[in-house]
Amino acid sequence: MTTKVTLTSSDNENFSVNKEITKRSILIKNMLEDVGKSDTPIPLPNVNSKVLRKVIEWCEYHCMDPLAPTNENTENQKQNTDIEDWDQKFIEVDQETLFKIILATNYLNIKPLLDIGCKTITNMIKGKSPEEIYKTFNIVNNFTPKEEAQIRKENKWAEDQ
Amino acid sequence: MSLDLFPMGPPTNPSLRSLSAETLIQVMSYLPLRARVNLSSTCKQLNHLTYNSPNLWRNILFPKGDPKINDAVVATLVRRITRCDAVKELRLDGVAVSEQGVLLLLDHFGHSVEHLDLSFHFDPFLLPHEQPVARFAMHLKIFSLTLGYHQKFDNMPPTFKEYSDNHLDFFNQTHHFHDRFLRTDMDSFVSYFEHYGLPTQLDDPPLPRLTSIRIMSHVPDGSTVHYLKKLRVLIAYLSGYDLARGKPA
Repeated sequence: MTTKVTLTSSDNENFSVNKEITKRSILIKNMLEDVGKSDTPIPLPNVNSKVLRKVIEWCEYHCMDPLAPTNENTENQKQNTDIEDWDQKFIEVDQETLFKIILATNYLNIKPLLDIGCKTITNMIKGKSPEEIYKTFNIVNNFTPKEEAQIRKENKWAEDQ
Repeated sequence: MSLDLFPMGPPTNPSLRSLSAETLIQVMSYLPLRARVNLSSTCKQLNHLTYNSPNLWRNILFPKGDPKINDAVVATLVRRITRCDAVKELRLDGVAVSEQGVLLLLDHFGHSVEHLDLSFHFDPFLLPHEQPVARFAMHLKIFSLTLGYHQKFDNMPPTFKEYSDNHLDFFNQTHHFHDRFLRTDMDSFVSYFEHYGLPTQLDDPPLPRLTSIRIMSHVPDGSTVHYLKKLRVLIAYLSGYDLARGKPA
């Protein structure tokens, strides 16, 4: 028999989810361990229903994946930003939703999904000039003209490709 | 910890502002060097975050075969990246960096580097003994002799930078060792060092963590192969290997 857990989004929508699936989120996993057996819904005030639905969809698809090891192997820093086909389709969303998914997975502590979000942003940055990066991500260039001239000069090699 | 990158907060696209510094660092960690530098030049806060996050600089992999990567690029990066123990891997493959640029990188990151990947570019206008690989081998030879010499007399050894800045002085200081130094293999190195009473192992090597190296030269006719052989022995010496123990693994 599968146990269900109720998650409540910031806009008060309830989601009844298989308990095992919710454990993809380290935050929820730890909460469940702390609380023990309880039917009380878990409030997620930082995640709205649209984003929570997406996150649950991801967790359900990946329910058979081995749980990521908890000790972060940061030594193994690969610059490989390949994303699996299903995940690639999953993450093809507007930029606002992408950011909300990243914030939600950061909060819920779902490392593999956070990775996918970060890699997606990485892929959006690659091959862009600094101007294109400002525009895409609404960055305010706050260098002084003097600093900017210096940086421009030093980083010219990176810009022309 | 979040960064207030965008005080004006334009309304259209969500900005990178909303992401935590930790997430931004993760995004940057996936970026190749060129894109990382471009992102860093978009605003002050991202610039600061890029060069002051040691985790981003575990490996410094210069784009392969890129003629735009020269000593000036190396000098700028070295100046910006906070000196730290994080850099484990350095890769310079066919870029236009001279031996001076390599020495500068080793000066800054040599104490923590574990993997070194050096492939020297070929300059068709230079003779074999003028190629970067040959000049680098010459410098490491003089530097190695200098370090051995300083150890023998219990003097404070120079750093790569101090060596690089005053290499003519060090050349003169060790010139009496040079005449018979045509060796490329470990055994003749050992007999040479022993002949002059120099230590076959450094007590305080400048590349103490180095465990693997890959050195290549893109010189087409193979005329620089003996420089590569010599470099392997010299780098083993500089990483603290006892030459008298025979070939390193």
